[in-house]
Amino acid sequence: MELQVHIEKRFPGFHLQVNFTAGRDPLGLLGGSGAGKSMILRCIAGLVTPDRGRISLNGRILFDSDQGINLPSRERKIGYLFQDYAVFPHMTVAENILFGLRLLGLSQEEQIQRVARRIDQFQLHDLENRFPHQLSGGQLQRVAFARALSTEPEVLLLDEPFSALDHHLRTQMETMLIDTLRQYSGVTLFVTHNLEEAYRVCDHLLVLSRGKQIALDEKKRIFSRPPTVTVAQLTGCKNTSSVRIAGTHQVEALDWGCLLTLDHPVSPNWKHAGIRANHLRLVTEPAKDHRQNTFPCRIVQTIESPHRVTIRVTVKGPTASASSSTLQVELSKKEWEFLQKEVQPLQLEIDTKDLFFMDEER
Amino acid sequence: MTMDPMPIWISLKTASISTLITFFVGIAAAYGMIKYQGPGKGIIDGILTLPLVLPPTVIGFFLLMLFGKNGPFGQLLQAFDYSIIFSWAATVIAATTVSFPLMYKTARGAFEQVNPNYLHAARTLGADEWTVFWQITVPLAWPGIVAGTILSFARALGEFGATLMLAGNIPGVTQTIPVAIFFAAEGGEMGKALLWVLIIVTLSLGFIVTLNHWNQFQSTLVTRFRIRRQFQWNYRSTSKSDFPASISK
Repeated sequence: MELQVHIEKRFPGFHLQVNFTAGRDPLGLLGGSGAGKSMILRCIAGLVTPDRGRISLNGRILFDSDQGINLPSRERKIGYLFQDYAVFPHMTVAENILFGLRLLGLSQEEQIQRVARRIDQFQLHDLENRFPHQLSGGQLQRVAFARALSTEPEVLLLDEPFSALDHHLRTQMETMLIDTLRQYSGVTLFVTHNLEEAYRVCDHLLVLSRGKQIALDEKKRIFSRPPTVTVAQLTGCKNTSSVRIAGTHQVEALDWGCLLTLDHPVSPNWKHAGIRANHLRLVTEPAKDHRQNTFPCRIVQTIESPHRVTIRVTVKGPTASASSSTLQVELSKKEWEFLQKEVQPLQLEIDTKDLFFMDEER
Repeated sequence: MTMDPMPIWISLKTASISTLITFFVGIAAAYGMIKYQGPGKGIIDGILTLPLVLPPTVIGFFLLMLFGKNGPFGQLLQAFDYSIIFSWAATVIAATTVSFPLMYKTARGAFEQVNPNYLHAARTLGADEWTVFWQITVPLAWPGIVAGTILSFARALGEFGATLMLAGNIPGVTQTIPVAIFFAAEGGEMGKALLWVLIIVTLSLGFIVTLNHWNQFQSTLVTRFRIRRQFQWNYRSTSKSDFPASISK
């Protein structure tokens, strides 16, 4: 199972350019709005024609600008789950699922069995004869899913499938999706702007920014060592700073206003440093092995979420200035309640093993 | 005062046939214009809409130029020894021309209102353009298409100016109710004119009331009809032999 995509598409003010291969494991397409995530899916499905490039699926060429091949959508064997579900409003649930099967030229018995299988799989019992306007959001989504899988497509394209659902349903549908994908033998592309969702559902991630592919890797690697500042920010890293090399083992974080000492030599290519909010700690007494990278700090703001607290701090120190930007520290409520009882001033501890460095943006 | 009932028959016949033509040509033009992405789209749309805004006499004048003895269509027809001017067919041509933009505009608007994702979904599920059009676009645009048809019929029934110019006033052949009213009133037969007026008001009102009822009835009908026409899903995973009686109409 392999989907190769190498395409280019120009619009006024937007240039999409991607080159990736997706296999059996779900590939997440992560990026802000307007990054071109949905456009990639549309190109693969044949709903939009790329300007140049090639798309092949299990050796079958779907699109090749050099050879002049451009298969119509109906011949591409693609399952597409639309953001707005696009369940046909004038057909019942069963008719919706049947729509693609009728066009396959299967025997009536085979069609019925396949519909029944999807109805079982997506728990649509007793809804078979209902019309879409009689269904809830979660039910509609299941119908759309059942329909997309009905023709047994070789690729499943999921375009922000959960964006219209409330939080509780989202969690339920996500569990169902992960289950379904485990049984599904084709290629899956999952478009989302929610990085946690992408992380839970997919193994590999493709990060997009303004039509450009800025990272493509195993999800753990992307999260622990983002290659550029944009990737770091898109993967939810709140703290980045430009750096200046200050010694063989020392860098100065210019935005944060502190001098960091590393236990490994510096690289001259480093331009930026980053650390995730949940990796920073606030302490009263510097730990023995972190003494060099613990800085007095001033709390600027605290923001409470139901279970976590985000604290914005600035570093006070010899290299700090008034223009120093804040760092975000994320703690559990327990930790924060405990710290609030302390009388001594708090200090910011930066653990260099969680710190990552990035080269210039490509 | 004797009344020849022929104008009623001619009016209804003309309006029906022209609506039938407008229905298909209007839908085809609307769909074609949505698909067409070439140059001059705005101009073409303008020309197709023009009969709606021009005075009917101007339409009649243009039609005379086209179908008259020296017009291109007129000469073509003359080769077959046929003249369309002052024939019943002329009333149909005039009514079709003036009612066409109503069908075209309404159908186009209805097609454009259809969420493109429904069409995309159908295509990825294996449907060709023909299937997409008849099974997705038309059913979803149906209320608009019906509205366009009603408007076209009403416009064709009331057509006067272009009809008079192209088809004239030949009793029993081209004299429609509106034309009959005009000539009755002009000839001072006010009683006759009034009678025709009452007849066309009754016809039009009856037509609209019937349609309104039918529209309301249709929504309940569609649901009932659908359940009978489409299959009822009876299958349960526990009783695998229980297949629905018919699956695809």
